[in-house]
Amino acid sequence: MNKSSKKWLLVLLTIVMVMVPVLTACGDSSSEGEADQPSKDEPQATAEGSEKDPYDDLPKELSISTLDRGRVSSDEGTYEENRWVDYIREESGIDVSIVPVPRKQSYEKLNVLVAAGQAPDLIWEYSRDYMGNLVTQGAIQPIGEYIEKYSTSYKEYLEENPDLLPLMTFEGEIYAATSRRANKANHGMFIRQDWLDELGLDIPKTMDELLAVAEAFKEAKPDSIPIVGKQTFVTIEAMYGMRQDRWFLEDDKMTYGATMDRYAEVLDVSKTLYENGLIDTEFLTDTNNQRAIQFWTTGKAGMITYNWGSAGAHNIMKDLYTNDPDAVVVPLEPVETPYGNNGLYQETDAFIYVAFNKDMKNPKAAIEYLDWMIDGGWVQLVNGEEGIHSELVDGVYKELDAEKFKKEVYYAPEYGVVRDQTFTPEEIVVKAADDEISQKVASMITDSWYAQTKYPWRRDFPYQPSFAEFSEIEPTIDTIVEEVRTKILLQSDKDGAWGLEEIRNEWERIGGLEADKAAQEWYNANKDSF
Amino acid sequence: MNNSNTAIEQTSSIKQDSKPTKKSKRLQKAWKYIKRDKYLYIMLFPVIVYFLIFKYAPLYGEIIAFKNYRLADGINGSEWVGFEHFRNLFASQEFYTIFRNTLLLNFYSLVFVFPVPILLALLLNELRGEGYKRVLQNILYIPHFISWVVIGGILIALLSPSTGFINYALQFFGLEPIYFMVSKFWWTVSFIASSVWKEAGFGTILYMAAIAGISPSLYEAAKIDGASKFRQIWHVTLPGIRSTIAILLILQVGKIMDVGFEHIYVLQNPAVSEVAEVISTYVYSRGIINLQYSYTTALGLFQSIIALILVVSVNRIVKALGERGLW
Repeated sequence: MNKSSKKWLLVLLTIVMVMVPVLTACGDSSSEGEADQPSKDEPQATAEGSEKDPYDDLPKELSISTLDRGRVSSDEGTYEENRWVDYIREESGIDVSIVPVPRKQSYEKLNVLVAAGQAPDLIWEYSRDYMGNLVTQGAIQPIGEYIEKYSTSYKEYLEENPDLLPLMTFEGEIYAATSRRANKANHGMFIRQDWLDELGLDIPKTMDELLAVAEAFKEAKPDSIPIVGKQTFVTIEAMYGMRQDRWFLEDDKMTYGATMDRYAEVLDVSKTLYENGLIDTEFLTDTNNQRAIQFWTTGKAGMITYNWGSAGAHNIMKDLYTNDPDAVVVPLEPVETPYGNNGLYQETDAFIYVAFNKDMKNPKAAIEYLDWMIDGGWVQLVNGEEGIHSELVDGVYKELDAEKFKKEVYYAPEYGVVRDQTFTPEEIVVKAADDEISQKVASMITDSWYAQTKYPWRRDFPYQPSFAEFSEIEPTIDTIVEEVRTKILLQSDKDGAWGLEEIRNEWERIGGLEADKAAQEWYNANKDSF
Repeated sequence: MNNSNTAIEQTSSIKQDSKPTKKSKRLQKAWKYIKRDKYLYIMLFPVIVYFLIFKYAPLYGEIIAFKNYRLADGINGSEWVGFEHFRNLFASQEFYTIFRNTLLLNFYSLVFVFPVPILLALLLNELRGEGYKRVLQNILYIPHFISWVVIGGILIALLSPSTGFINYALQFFGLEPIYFMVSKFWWTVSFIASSVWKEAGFGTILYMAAIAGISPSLYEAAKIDGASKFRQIWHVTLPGIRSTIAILLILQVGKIMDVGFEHIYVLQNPAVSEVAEVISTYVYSRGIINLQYSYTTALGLFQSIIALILVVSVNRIVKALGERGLW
């Protein structure tokens, strides 16, 4: 490079350096200005809204979050723009824009959007606790008045389902819209019947039998892992009638799961499983469940704990049947523990919680959107277009082509944030595509619905309390519990009794006793409404 | 790269030149220099704007460490609580654990990671074949561009006791397999080693540049005096890059309160959280996920203050040792 060209390069670089920050600075400030302006006028507009509705003149625009599960293939478009978003805009008459948030980091992403003042008008999540956080932070606004004033179909829906109201109510006001969850089953267990037959064993009915079967599997198939799945610990807790990270009413006293007496027993069972190699000894580094799925689908696992009827469950069963046509999988009912028969984790009645951003411009459009959705807008989103993706058989939408459905409809249901949906387990078989494996899996999953809902999951009150004394220490106690459990598994001299004592000491140290007190007050204040 | 370097040199030289003698003269003199170097100042302007907008303006947000920040109230609207968050911080046991872990991990990387690029640069410098050297350098740079998420996945698979290559090798030699990622000792080793693997090659760039700036006549003189290769490295190359090492050392110490988030996040697991929970992961789980913004800002502020004190003191020490510091 000679001297003059070097000079040119320098000049060019300087220009670039000058331009870049200036441009970015401009871009930033102008877009912020735009976003801020209307939102600041908004509260005044609501106040004087009694005579002429202030929202009638506003454009019918609405933004709503959605969970990005990475399911939209590139030829379908994106989560923001695809056939279903077009469909919603066309049919509802509302100019909807979608704001995807990654499924696994939904809280972080939404929090950041809220803090930056860029959150969508409608924010939704499955977690009621998360909505409680948004209420405490003042990020969302009460919506009771809007429903009263503007809603038709959704108001009617709520009148028919008054039991949803307490779930939607935070600090005495309605903060989030929701609809009834058609199917509450969530976690499930599956076992290889062909392995049982091979060893002449019966389906385990009690925890001891379960351990014995796992031992037998281990002995007969040393290369395999008897029980896989990252939900294994939660599943065991559920069968003992508890969950480490939830509140329960124990002897009329509000008690946090990890501090319950029986947690020591759960920890002991977990230790037995780990030390004898009955669960994956490498589960600690299998954070995305991939190892578990690999063992299961390659026929090297005897039991799996998994979400009962999720698309993922269908897929891992199909993969297993494809890899090993002789495999026979049956659902495993929750086994009996010293605390009786308790079901695996099941959801509350509420489905998706939809909250209204406090800076929302047009709540009326939002209500119209919910009205349109519950009125039947959701049907196509869940089932696809009739005649193209599915057909109506016995009142149930049946997939016409499994592959096409997976590609074109699989990502759409969550756009239907409120649904007037019903569910019968038999429809799983009707819905499934006609090929042999899909049908085989569907009928097994149907059976498993009965197995998983045979006993209810222990739920002492309809929803978990949320209050500051607890939410401040929640991440700390979660970390502690996980650490203690890991220590018990890895260190032979530690057992459940030690763990429970350790957890209780820590609970006391970080202010758990105040949380206990606040929880009790919450229960006393609300128990009449349960 | 080039430009910013020259910019730094310019400002520092101006500072040294413009040391004033008397007040009235000082302004005049300064103005004279500004006039003389006006193009340089014009070039500097966007950089100043950049720093004001993106580095200094956000500092304002630090005041939420002294407030009870609520999203709805915003930075200005939230109520003042004084030092309450700091009191809570110093009263909590977790704080000391993460503080210790952060310091320890950084201390290890100062001892084990920092010298590696220097050694590597010295070795590369001694290579004869120019083509071979280039290929080798490029191969060494590649890991820098791989994301930690990918490296984390590879590392966990590689170290798996049942399916990992390392444990196959161990078993081949008749040793027991080790679950590296859940052992506090081996986890730390893996953490440090992965840093070396990813960054050591890329770190050689600055040293190679410094080595290239050493006058060949020094080597010739050394050769004539009968210095061996090793002697040449010791007496010519190393002193030649001493100031680069000093500056990078100061910068490294400035980061001692800061463990890169991604790196540790992908390798963490509950078995090692006693040594692996650091300030950045703590801030993430408490602040971003659990919305305790003020509390974690207080932690971040504390972290920055310690880092500032360390940088200032190391800079002093380096200067006392006769090197040119950062300022």
